[in-house]
Amino acid sequence: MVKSNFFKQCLEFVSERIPVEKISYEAMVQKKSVPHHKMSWAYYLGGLTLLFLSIQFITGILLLFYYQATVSDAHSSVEHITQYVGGGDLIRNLHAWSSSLMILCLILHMMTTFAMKAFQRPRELTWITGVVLLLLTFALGFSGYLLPWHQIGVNATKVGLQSIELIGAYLPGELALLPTKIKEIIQGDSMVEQATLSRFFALHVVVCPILLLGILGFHLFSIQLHGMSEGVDHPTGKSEKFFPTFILKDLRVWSVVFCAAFITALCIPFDSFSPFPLLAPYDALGSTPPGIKPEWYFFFIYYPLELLPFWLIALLQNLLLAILFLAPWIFKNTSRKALFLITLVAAIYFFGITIFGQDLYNLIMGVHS
Amino acid sequence: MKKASCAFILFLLLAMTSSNNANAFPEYQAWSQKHSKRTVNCAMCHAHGDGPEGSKPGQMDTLDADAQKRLEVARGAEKPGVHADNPILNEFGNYIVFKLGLEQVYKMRDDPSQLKQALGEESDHDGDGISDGEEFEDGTHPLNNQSGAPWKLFIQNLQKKWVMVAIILFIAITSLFGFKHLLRYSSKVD
Amino acid sequence: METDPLQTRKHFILGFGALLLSGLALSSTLFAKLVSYLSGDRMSQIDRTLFLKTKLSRMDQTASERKLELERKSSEYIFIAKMSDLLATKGKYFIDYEMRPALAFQSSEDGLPILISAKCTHLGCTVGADLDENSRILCPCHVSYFDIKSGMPHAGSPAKAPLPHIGWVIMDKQSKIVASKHPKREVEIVEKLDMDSLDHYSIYIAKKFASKATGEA
Repeated sequence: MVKSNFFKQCLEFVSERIPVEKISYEAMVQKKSVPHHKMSWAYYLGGLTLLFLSIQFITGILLLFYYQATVSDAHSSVEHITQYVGGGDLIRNLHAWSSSLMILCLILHMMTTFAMKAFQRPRELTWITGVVLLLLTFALGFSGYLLPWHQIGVNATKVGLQSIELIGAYLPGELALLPTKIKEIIQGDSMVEQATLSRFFALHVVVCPILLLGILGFHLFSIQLHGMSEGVDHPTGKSEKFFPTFILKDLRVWSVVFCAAFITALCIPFDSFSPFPLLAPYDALGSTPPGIKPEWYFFFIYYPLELLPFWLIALLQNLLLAILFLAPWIFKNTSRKALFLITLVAAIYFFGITIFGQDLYNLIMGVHS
Repeated sequence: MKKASCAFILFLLLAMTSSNNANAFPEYQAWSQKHSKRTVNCAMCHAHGDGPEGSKPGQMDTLDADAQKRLEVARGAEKPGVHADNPILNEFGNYIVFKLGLEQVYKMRDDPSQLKQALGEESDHDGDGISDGEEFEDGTHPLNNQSGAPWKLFIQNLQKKWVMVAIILFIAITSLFGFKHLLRYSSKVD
Repeated sequence: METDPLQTRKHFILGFGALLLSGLALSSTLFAKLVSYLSGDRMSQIDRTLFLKTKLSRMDQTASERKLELERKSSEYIFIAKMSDLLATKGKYFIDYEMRPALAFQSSEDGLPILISAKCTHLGCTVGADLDENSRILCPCHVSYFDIKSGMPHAGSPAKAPLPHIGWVIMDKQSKIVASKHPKREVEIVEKLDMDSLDHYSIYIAKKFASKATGEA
């Protein structure tokens, strides 16, 4: 009796989250509407992320035509693309800029979705797939950073992977060796070497994109099934049709943003923000140049790792992940006002540490040394 | 006695200059780094990022007979105008020696801020529109057109690629115009 | 709502026309870029020569790393430096039996070599070669200073564990071992070294002292 009840509950849960009976042209396109209120701008962020993802796919495929994933040739093949192939610098810079912009939009999209409480029933699965998509995007960013095989990429990857090993110090007995084992499995070798490059290449161009596409398909599908969440406490009652009004507005934003990104990539090389010693090919036998850093979107975890004890960061990081995954249940009865405040604090932390992290680090370390 | 001490001083001076020629000029690197607040290494002027000493490609210990010969010629380039192809220097390093001569390079160590003026506006080895001297001051690489102060590169590239930028702006403006009218149309047919 | 069919049609034509125009402009721009990208590189003969040189030197670098690896798999002793080439203030980089970077110094006290791992115990960056006035080397990544005599990091540094020392042997010109040091033990002198003719002696690392052999991590 209990058992059958459980299965019934499972079925009910799924059927409420994936209301297949709504699969119809009428419900998903003709009748879908987008609420109109002071937070309406947030509805564009997901679409923008999708725009940048498409740019990533196209430019990524183009880069594949010339890129060579071997330790001796990776750096010079990237150099070849940027210096000698017609429009190669544009393609590469567009890929780099668009990856950063994609993550920016993704983070803003997540923050606004959270603040608007759009994750509540029946949209829990949409939220969870969104969190998975965020993690996949971070994985793409992390693996892509290694591919040019330059000083900054390889050394940052080394540091990033090495921090897995640090967990070992907090595990008892035989388990203490487990993180090292995991690290070596990811690396494919005892060091960051050719095996690592091959693995990261496979992850970056095949594994992560395929997973991303599959999960993104579900994410978009369930958004169309459930329609837009109201997002505010006092709905204005006004709304606009998804098709054609919202689509047209969405495309309008896309065209402006695409042109801005295109001009940026055309005129400002992404590498110009890194000091040139870090752009040189990785030298396994030489010294590590100073100033090794991950990409800006990892600063929120990188600077705390630098400044605070490791166990605390590991704990907080896992806590954050758990909170993100369980948000629909944890914040079930939280008011939008409270969610907005939480988001505000998170945003101030994230952007604050991204912009002022280095100053903070200098300030604190300056006192130490 | 006097003669001997003179000879000794001369010997010391010679030893000093020759050893200074053999070594790098880290004063320039230090100045560039301090002035730009960017990380700078020996690869700005040298063939290898860790400088001339060592056994990696572009360093002293790996030079073959031909490279040794070129090094000797380069070390004799006291006055400007010598096209010395010094194997431990890169194109920019060699250009500095060509333009100034080692004597001047040696003197200017006390005040590297003069280098930009001494190199002049016209030399721009990577063709990114920012002169070599300016790149030295900005702490960016004079031989890499992807390296430069971002804002300066933006202005330069905007001027260089203005046709492309204009086309893109045209696309943006026409599409905005188009969407505006289509939105009006869609609101009217509703 | 009042609708003027003429106005409506005007909006449609203007909107559609403008979008068609911008779409055409965009697709032809992108197409032109794509064609130029796919048609390959445009290199002058000089550029191509220089670029091939660069590529070759990178391959040489990889080849030399592979050679080092092979040497470490197959030889009992690996040459590090001549005794006379070691400095007390600046380390000489070499690669240990585990293919990790390490540094060789001359001790300022007894003139014997000090061989120490240069792989930072914090996050694995390569430690710098220059000794500061307190005879410490610096890991640039997270600012850990290591004393080369003890290997210990400075108090409060991000690195907690000391840099391990590496064992060495000194051979004379006849490849006879005159001195050796196990990483954990005292120096064993077989024959007194002539400190005035250090160029007669060469320093080697030995497989029997490698961390796998001595059971260290």
